[in-house]
Amino acid sequence: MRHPSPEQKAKEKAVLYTSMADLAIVIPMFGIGMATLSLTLLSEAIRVALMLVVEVYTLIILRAAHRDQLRQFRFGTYKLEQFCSFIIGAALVASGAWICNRVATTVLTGELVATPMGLAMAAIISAINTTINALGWYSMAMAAERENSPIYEGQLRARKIKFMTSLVVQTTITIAALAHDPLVSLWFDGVGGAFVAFLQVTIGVRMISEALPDLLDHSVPDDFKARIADGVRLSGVQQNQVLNVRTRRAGPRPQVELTVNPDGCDCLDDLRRRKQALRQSLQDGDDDMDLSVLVDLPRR
Amino acid sequence: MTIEVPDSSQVPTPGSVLSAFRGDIFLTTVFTALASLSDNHAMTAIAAMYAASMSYEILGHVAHRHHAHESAARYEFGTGKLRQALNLVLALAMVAGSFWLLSLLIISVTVTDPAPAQYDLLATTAVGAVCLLRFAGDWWSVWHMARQTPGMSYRGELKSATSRLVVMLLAQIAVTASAVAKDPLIGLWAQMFATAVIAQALMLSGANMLWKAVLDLIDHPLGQSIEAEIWEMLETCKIASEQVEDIRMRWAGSELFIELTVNADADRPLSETLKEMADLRQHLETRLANADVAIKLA
Repeated sequence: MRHPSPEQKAKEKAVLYTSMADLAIVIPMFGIGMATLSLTLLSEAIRVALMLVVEVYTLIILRAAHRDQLRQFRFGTYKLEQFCSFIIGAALVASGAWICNRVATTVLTGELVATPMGLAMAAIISAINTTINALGWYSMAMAAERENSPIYEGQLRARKIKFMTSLVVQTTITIAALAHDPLVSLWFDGVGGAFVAFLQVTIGVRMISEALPDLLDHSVPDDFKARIADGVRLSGVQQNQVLNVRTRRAGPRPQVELTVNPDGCDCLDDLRRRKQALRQSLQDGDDDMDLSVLVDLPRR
Repeated sequence: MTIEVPDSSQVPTPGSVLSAFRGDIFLTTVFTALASLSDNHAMTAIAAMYAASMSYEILGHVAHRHHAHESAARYEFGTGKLRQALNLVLALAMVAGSFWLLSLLIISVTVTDPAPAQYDLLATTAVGAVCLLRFAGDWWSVWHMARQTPGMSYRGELKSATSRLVVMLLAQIAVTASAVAKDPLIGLWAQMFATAVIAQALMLSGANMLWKAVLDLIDHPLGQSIEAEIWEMLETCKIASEQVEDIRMRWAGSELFIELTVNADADRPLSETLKEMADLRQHLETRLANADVAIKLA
């Protein structure tokens, strides 16, 4: 088993501490949500819990990859990650639909299930969650440079959305807690729950739609195919010498398989040179595709 | 570069599915209607098992026809993964269905349902007999194909067909016993036994299908036994393990993708090397039905 480098350990620690902070808040959110039956807090707790699952499996895969324990996945581990995303996306959609049903039933029956004290406690726990999200976003924003990596930018955007969402939730649940009229409390609690449910369904559908093409081995997008065609043209290999191209999505490193015609090659070295020209032209120093160059073999 | 022109006549429309499976769809509809009218859980279990079996075949048909139409556009490596995704959904339904059947059984035992009427028992026996004949026919055709095709091509299918047949046979024996039993209590217990057997079979096969679908979708490495068989085939073709620089394998539904990287001798004429590799590919594809073998020369 390989030992991780200090930089890899630092990354693992960053993900671990973030997960622990989210776990620390999600347990009281669930507890108070179920005790108070506040729709807003329950729906927010479900969303945070499912996002926490994403962080946990990311950590597990990260640790395994750093220790070279996933070497047997010869085609990479991206499909494993996408499958986890797909499951979580489906869970988000299902739970969002369930919450919408609860909100609709509660609002239509007009019975406020959460007591004023319960709503007040829910507002307090939500305030703690909002503060954690605000601090997380602020620290990431301060650490950001003028130009950041796409991963960091993605994380920063996700943190901002998380903070904005918790602000909306905080607003609705505070109004629900402070309102004297039970009907106003009911409606604001319902609006908060509905907002979070809508967000869950949206995020879930997006996760499913991003994961499915990779899981089903769809071919790469048209712009990538155009890049392959340009690469073949620039390699100097004749168009009719590349007999077949097959591609399938596998996250950041899609699999590309080219079949070349050995005609015109007198020996193995000629064939190797042809393959090498294609490889250099297509990959151009970047390792952003799993490229296989095959030779066309005669069939009986 | 090869370009395949999509054939619109291969699109899996509802009409094409209906015409290909009209007998099975008719039987499933009849069994489901009878099960909904019956108080007999064994009838429900048999209808569920028949529906699951037919759904599996229909999904395979849909994925196959989709492959013939869409392969040029979106599924350049075939629709095996699409088939597995559909199997995943079916497997979840089978597992959920098995839990539902078991819950019906538990309720029957605790509430002590009255024994089903004689006409109900006879109808269940008849339905079970039709299912048994259907599964026996399936087993026969798979066994026949497995005999004609050497290697591991139909091994999995034969195993599934055999277990389905055995389960249905056990259930049919129990259902028949309940119809002829003089004591209504024996009849009731025999019905429950049949339901339990089918529910367990649905759960196990659903769980098995679910696991295989998940492993397939995540490009999990193959089992050691299959890898060992493939290495044996390479040795048969006189390809030593030192010559094989790399080997990658993955399942996509029933298709096995094998990518070999072989160290070739640069002193040999290229035509001889290509012929040897072509023979190797031929050998592997003959022994393994639905194998897609790609050979790279290092």
